[in-house]
Amino acid sequence: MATTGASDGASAAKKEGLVTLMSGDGEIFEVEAAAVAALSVTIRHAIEEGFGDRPIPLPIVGARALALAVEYCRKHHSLGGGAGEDSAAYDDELRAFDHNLAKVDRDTLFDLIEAANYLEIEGLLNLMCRTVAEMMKGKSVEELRRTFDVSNDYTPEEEEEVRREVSWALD
Amino acid sequence: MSSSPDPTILHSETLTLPPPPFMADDATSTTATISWPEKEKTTATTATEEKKRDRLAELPEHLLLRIVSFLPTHVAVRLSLLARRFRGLWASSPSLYLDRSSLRRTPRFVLLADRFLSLRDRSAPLRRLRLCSDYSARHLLDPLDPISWLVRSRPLGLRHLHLDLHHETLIYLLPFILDFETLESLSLSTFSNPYGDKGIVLPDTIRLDRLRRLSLYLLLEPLSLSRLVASAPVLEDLNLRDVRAKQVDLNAPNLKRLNLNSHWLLEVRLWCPKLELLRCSLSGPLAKYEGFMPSLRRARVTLSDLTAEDAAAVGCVIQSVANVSELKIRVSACWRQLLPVRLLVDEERSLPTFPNLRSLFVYTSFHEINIRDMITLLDHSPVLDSLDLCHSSPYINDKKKKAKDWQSKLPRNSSGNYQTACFTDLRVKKRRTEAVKLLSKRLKIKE
Repeated sequence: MATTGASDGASAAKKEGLVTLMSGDGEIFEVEAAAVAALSVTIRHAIEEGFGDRPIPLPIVGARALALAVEYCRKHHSLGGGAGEDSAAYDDELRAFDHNLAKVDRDTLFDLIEAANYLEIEGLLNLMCRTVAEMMKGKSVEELRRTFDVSNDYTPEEEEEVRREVSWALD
Repeated sequence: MSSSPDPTILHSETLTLPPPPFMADDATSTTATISWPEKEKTTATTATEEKKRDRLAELPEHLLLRIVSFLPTHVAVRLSLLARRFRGLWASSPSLYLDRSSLRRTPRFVLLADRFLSLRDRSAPLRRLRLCSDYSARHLLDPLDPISWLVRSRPLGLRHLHLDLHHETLIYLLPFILDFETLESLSLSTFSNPYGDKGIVLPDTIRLDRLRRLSLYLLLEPLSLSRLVASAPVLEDLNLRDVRAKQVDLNAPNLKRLNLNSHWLLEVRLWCPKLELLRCSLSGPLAKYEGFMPSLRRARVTLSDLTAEDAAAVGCVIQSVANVSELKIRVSACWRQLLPVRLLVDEERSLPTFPNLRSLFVYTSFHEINIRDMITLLDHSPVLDSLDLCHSSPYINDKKKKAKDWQSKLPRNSSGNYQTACFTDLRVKKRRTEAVKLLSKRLKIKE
């Protein structure tokens, strides 16, 4: 941990090996630096730049998404060494953890994609993107529009044109 | 605690119940560890308005492409029909993925791949090729097709290859796959084993200079497996999902994570100086085991079907993981074994010292000898803090086998049974002494 002298009074109680994160909505999280720094490139860089003593502001990450992302880092750091889901370390325990994590509602799912993207947590980003992909499988175009609230902005002529364009991939 | 049978030996902190089973039911135990913060007020009140937000289409293109890369290619292409935002997105997808559902008819599989490769945006890199075919001979791919896809995607920046194919097809592809210097991850699976015990012999030239991850689910001839691993100098992650060979001999100087799963192995030799995580599942008979893995910090070892003859090899397995800080062992005896087997160590040698061990989980038959070994182990593990023991009764249908000899000698726990025992804060000397006392309590000859 870099211990630069600059310490705002905000986080007075500083414990060894912990780092303070501040979510976009102002919530403070004290988490194990080793686990989050191993998985999140953004936080690793922040710590290297001497943020170790001050709360690291994460403007676009909400408290709920941040709590889940931190939990992901902890679990994957301790069990899998941070390697993703095609790794030799990806065992039943990690699989079950990921499976549970992916059961969030749709809004949280997208919050997590944005959070993982901002925090640069490769494994979490892949997990959540794959979850969205799984939700897309086996659905008709109409069902897809309903599931993801996509409004169809094609004119009927355009739609016909696109249909011809991709006809080779249709049944 | 009201149900506690013997308050003198029970401290709610010393003996808590039940420790999580080794593998099963993790799904429920992990739910508890995820803390779900209360949903924000703002999200709750604006939920109705939020519902109309099109979160998917709002994502930046690189995230949409990441989602698309997890879709089978025919589904990815069909997304074009959703709305303008999605039109032609597939053309920059970094992944060609042909799954079983696109293989209802082989011609379609071939057509899809050809169209995808010829119509896509040539400036976008293609990183991943994933082919999962049906195993039935009916859907046998002509090997020339996947070979042509490989040859065409290689110059587009291919880094990851995932093939789950019929062995007949895979055999033809191997020379192209294994001479692919820029490959970073490779996963090969095939179903049936038409080669008896011999296994597939790999081609002479193997050049996988940048390969970091390798996952195998196929029968390889033992020397070929050793050669494959030796030809991947920067390999970090090796997943051997089912080694159907009698021997395995791996020299992997940069390997960090290893999964070794086999019911066939008789002889194992692992030289992995940088290995950090090990998952290993082996079964008896196990004649010989040599493991050099001084950097190991977490191991999960399952040894099943053991007899007294396997004790020496089992001792070597335990010795090889002595540096870990976290260890889970599951040892079970062969059902034909009549007498209780000493499972963790053989008579010739003593248990090693575990200088870094902080957390230990043991799932085995806790008859008298094994309890004694656990007490010795406590003695040999100076920094051990948490100890979880779980008794497994072997399957007994033999009249000669005395069920009594196999019974758990674990102390009675707070639920009033002898199946599990969990000790925490063992770094505190008082706790450690208490734990030893509890474990010795039901032994015939007191320490």
